[in-house]
Amino acid sequence: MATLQQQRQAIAQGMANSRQATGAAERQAIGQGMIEERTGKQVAEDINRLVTPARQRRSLPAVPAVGAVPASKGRGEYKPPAATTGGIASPITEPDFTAREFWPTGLRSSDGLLFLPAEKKVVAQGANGAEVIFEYAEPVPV
Amino acid sequence: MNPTNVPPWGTPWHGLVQGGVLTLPNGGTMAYPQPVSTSFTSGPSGSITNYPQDTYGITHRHAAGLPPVTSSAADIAAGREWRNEATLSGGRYQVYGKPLDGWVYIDPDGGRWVVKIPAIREQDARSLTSTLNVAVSFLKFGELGVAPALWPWSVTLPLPDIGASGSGYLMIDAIKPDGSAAVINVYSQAFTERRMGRPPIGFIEVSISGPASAPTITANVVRDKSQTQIHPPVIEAELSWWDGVEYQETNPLQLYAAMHSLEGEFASTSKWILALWYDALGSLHELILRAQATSTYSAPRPSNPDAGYTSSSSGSGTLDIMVDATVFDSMTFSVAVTAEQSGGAGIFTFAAEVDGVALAGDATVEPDDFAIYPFPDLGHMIPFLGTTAVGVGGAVHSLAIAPGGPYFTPITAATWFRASVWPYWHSRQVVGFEISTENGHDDPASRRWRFRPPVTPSGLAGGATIDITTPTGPTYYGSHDPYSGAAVWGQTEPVCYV
Repeated sequence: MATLQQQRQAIAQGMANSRQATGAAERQAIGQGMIEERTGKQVAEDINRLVTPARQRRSLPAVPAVGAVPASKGRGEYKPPAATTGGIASPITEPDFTAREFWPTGLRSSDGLLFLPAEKKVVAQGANGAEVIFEYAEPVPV
Repeated sequence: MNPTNVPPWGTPWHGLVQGGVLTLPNGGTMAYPQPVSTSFTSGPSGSITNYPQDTYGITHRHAAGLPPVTSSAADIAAGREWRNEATLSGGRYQVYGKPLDGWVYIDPDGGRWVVKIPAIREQDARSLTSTLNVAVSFLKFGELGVAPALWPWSVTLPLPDIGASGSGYLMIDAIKPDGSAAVINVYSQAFTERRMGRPPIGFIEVSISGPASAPTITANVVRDKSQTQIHPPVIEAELSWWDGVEYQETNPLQLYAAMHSLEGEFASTSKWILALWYDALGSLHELILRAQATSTYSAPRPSNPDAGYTSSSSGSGTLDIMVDATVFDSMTFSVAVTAEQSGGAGIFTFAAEVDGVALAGDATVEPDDFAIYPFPDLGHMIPFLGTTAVGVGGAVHSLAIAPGGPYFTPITAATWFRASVWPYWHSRQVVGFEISTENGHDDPASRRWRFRPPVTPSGLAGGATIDITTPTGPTYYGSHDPYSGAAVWGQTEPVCYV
């Protein structure tokens, strides 16, 4: 059992704790209220709650000037090819000339004497054996 | 034409080539193969060395109907000229510096073919009374990267349809711009060391249509002899027999052993087609030598057989070089002669002017000569190809075209002057007058030769008349540019436009 002295010390500590909490908080709240009153913050907040706030003007983002852009180094990330068996590998070789297709139109010399056939399709293959097909646009006469 | 992003290609080098040097439009020069002709060493009089002065300058246009091509400022500065047509140059039809020995035909499928007819060559005399079947080959040309191809065909030339006898020679003289036809000149040779005259007898056109694999090839006479050589009939003089003297004619060309009274006037026009030319649209035009003359003659009947006899004649006329009905060059001539016979001898007096060159003189004919040719046939002018025969105190000589003439020479030794006029081919498309005069027979010192500015498919060429006294040369060369119409002539070495 606590001694009388210990009991009296506990009662005193309890009284001090209750007084300190109440006092500090009250004093802080009173102090903050005084600050707000002096700065008008609370008044401003009260007014703002009553009126529609004005739209804020915001400036447009800046557009870079037209013209040459100073040279700069680009940067790219190297992505190694996927480890697969497809794609085009050099050299590309045409195995059979007779497989070429030509457009009926072609390119004429200025005097009409010579005629250079225009290729339409060339069938070739890459070094990895993959077929490579070139399809060319038709030279349409004007 | 090609898409706009394709620049012109082919050959941009054009101009005049002489001595293997091409002069470009900007004045620059470059080495270039001189267009040539084929040569041959046989002819109607045995071996004749070819003097192809006119074949070097041959030019034919090949026009495929393409739109004009623009040459850039850089092209012009560099002497490049892009054209929408080609020029086949020289007797071997040179293109891009290479002889084709044929011309280019584009068939309906767009295929390009060189058409060759090897049998049409000048060294072979051909009978004009028999048809001639000749091979015509189509050789694939101009399509880069395709397989070669050749189609052999033939065509029969209807030489008898020309209406001539004997033999003649053949040469391709004109090619249609689209390559679908060509004209063959059927001619008789009249070559001298200065001149390669090819007086036409008639013309045959070879036409082509359809694909080279199945073409239609025809050959038709487009001008027969009667259309090519138009001469007036020999008009008999109106003769009035004189009492007591019979007309004796032992040789119509030389003897008139008769006393007769003649009065009259004689006018004539004759023409000779020298060539057929195609224009840019492919129509044929005639290059013509025309002669027009009027002469009068008078030989009044003497009052009695012992009286003196005076006769006189005069004539004047023009020689024209025409294309169809248009005269592009014209020269004049006139002559007057009188003959007085008295006491068996005779005196002839003459005066003439040929293209401004005056000739005059007189001569005495001895009685013995007069016995054979007592009275001159009063010179009347019968124009014909190669000359205007000026009758002077004697019969007009025959119409034959001889290599050295023809010229008129009175039939006695006492000849007075001669003048002859020839068409002169600087090239097959550059033709003008060659006028030679001699004031007195066998008087070389008086000989003169004049070469007037020639006529081309583009009209009369510029320049001044060449007037020389050199009897054996030089040979003159020329060329016509079918693209620009420009022409050169009177050159002393071969020259040709490319």
